[in-house]
Amino acid sequence: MTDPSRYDLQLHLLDRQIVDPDGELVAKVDDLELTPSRDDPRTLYVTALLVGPLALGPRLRGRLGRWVVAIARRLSDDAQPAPHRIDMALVQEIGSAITVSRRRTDLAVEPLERWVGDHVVNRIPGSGA
Amino acid sequence: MRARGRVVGILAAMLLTACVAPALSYEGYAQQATMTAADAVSAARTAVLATRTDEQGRMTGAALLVLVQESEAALGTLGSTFDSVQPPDDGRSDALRRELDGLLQDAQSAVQDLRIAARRGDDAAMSLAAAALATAGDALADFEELHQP
Amino acid sequence: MSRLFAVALGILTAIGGFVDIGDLVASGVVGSRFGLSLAWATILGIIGICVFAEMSGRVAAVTSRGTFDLVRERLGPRAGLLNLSASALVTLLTFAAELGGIALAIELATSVHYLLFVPTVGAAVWLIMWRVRFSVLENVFGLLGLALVVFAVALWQLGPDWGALLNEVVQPSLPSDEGYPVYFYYAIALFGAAMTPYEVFFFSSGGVEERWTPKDILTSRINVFVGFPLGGLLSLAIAACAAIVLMPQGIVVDSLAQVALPVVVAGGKLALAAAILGFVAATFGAALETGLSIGYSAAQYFGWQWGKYVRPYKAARFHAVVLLSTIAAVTIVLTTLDPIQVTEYSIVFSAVALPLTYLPILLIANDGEYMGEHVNGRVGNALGVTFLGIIMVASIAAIPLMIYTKAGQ
Repeated sequence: MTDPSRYDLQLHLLDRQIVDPDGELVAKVDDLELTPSRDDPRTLYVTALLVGPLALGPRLRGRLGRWVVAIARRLSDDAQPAPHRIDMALVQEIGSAITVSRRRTDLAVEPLERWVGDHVVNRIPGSGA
Repeated sequence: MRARGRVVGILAAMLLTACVAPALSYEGYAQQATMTAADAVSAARTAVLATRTDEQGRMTGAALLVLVQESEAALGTLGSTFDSVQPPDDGRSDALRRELDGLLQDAQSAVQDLRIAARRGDDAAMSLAAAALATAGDALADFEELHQP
Repeated sequence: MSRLFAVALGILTAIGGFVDIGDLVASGVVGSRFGLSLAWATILGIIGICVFAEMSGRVAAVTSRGTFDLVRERLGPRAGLLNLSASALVTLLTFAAELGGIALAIELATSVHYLLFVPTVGAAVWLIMWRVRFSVLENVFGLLGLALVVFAVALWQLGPDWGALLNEVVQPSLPSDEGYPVYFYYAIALFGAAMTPYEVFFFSSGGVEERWTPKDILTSRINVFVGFPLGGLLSLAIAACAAIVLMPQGIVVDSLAQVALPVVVAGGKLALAAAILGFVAATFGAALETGLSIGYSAAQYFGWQWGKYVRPYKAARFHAVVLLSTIAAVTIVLTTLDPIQVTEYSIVFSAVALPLTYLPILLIANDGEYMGEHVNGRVGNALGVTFLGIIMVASIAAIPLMIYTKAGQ
C-alpha cells in the first residue's frame, strides 16, 4: 500500500469502514478530530476518528446536515452531545479498511444498534441473542 | 420570496386549466372512442379465449374465473370512463356515443352472463354467453376499424 | 465433481432467478402489442446486466466489500446519500411490485382475491429473510424459477413460423397501430426491467455473504455469462408466446393472468400449474432480493454490520431496515393500487435510476487501488462506457416519454 507515514485524509481515512479485530464491522469514519500540535499551532494531528450522526451531519452540509445534527442532539442522553470518538491510539492498521484494536461491543460507539437490538430485533425469536 | 410565489401561481393556474378539460373536437372524441373500443375488444376476447380453452378441458376453474372476472371489471371501467368524457356539441359525436355505448353494453351483459355461468359451472350457458361475447367483440372491432382516424 | 456441481447449480439458479415481475409484465405487454419487434431492447438489457453484474461480482470477490460501502468511499457522503435514497426508493417500489406479483400468482391458482394474501405473503417473505440461510434462499427459489421454462416449451408447442419470428427480431418494424414514442417508451421499459438496480446490489452483497475470494471470479463469470442470457431467453419466450396467441386477436396484456394464457392454450392445465409455480418462485425470489437489498444498501452506506452471515442480534439495524421495508412494501400493495401499474412504474423509475447505480460500479471496477490486478481491462471498459452511454440516454428519455405517451397508451 502507500507509504505508511503519509496519508491523504480524504482518500485513506474519511468514509472508510472501521473493522474490529474479529472482523466485525463497526462504523464508517464520519469525520476526523483534528488537534493543533503543541509546538506549532499550524500543524494539525488527527487525534480521533469520529462516528455517528453528530459527526456525519456537518459533512452532509446544508439543511439536511443541520436537520440530522438537530435530531441526533434531541435523541442523545447527554447534556452536551458530542460525536462518538475512537482514539487514534486504538487504530491498528490502515488498509482498505481501518482495523481497531478493541472489540465492537467494547468501543460503545453504536447506541442506535443497542437500542434497536434491545427494543426490536432481540425480542423477535430467532435473533440468536 | 416573490419569485417563488410567482412560480407557484403559474403552476396553480396550469393545474386549474388542466382540470377543466377543454371541449374535444370530433376527431379527438373519435380517438377516445376507438381507444375505448380497442381495449374492450382485448377484454372481451380474453374472456372468450379463456372459455374456449376451458371447453377443451385445458383450463382450471380458478384461472377461468380470474380471467373472466378481470374482463368483466375492465369492461365496466371502460364503459364508465367513456361515459364521463364530454362529447363535442354535434350530431356526429352523439351518434358515435350512442353506438359505442350500445356495443359496450352488449359486451358487458355477455361477460356478466359468462361470469355467472362460470361460477355455477354451467357449461351450456357458458358456451352461449361466450358466443354472445365473441359477437360483441367482433362488433367492437368493426367499430374500431371504421372510426379509426 | 463437486466443483462441477457447484457451477451447474450456480448456472441453473441464475437462469431461474433472472426473471422477476418486471420482466413478466413487460415481456407480456410488449409481446402482445409489438410482437418481437422490441426483442433488441431485451437483448441489449441482458448484455448490459451481464457486463455490470460481472463487474460488481469481481469487485465483491476482490475487495470483500459491498457496493454501497465503496460508493460512499469513492463519491463522498453527500453523493452517496443521494444515490442511496434514490436507489432505496426505487427498490422499495420494486419490492412492492414483487409482493403484488406473488399475491396475483396465488390468486390465479385459487381465484381468491389477491389482496387477501398480501399480509401473509409479506410475513412469509420477511420470515424467510430473517431465518433462512442465504445459500438456501438463493438456490431454492432460483431452481423453482426454472418452471418458467414452460414458456419455451409452450412456444415450441405452438409451432410458430420460426423464420418469421427471427425476421421480426432481426429486422424490427413498427406495428401499424403504434407510434414511435410508445415504441421507444417500451424499449426503455424492457431495458429497465432487465437491468434492475437491485440486482447489482444483491449480487455483490451476495458475493460478500458467500465469502467470495478472487478464486471465485471464474465461477461468478460463468454464472453471469451463461445463466443470465439463458434466463433472458425466457423473457423472450414469454414475449413470443404473447405475440403468437394474443396479438392476432387484439388482446393486450394488462394482467398477470393474461401473461399465462398462451401457455394454457398451448399446454393445458399442467402447463398452467408450471407457469404459476414459476410466477410464484420468480416473484418470491425477487421479493427476497429487493427486501435484502434495501437493508444491504443502507447498512453499507452507514457502516453498520450487515448480512445474513452473522446472527441477527449482531446486525440489529440491518434487520430493522429489512423489517421496516417489508412493512412499507406491504402497505403500498394494500393501498389497492393495481400491482401491474406499480410494476410498470417501478421499471420506468428503475431506468431513470440506472446511471446512479452503474456509474459508481464502473468507477470502482476501474480503480487500481481497490482492484489491484483485477482492474477492468480495455474490453471491459469499452463495454462499460458504451453501456453507460446507453443507460444515460434511457434515463433521460424515460420520464418525458412516460408523460408524452401517458405511460404507454
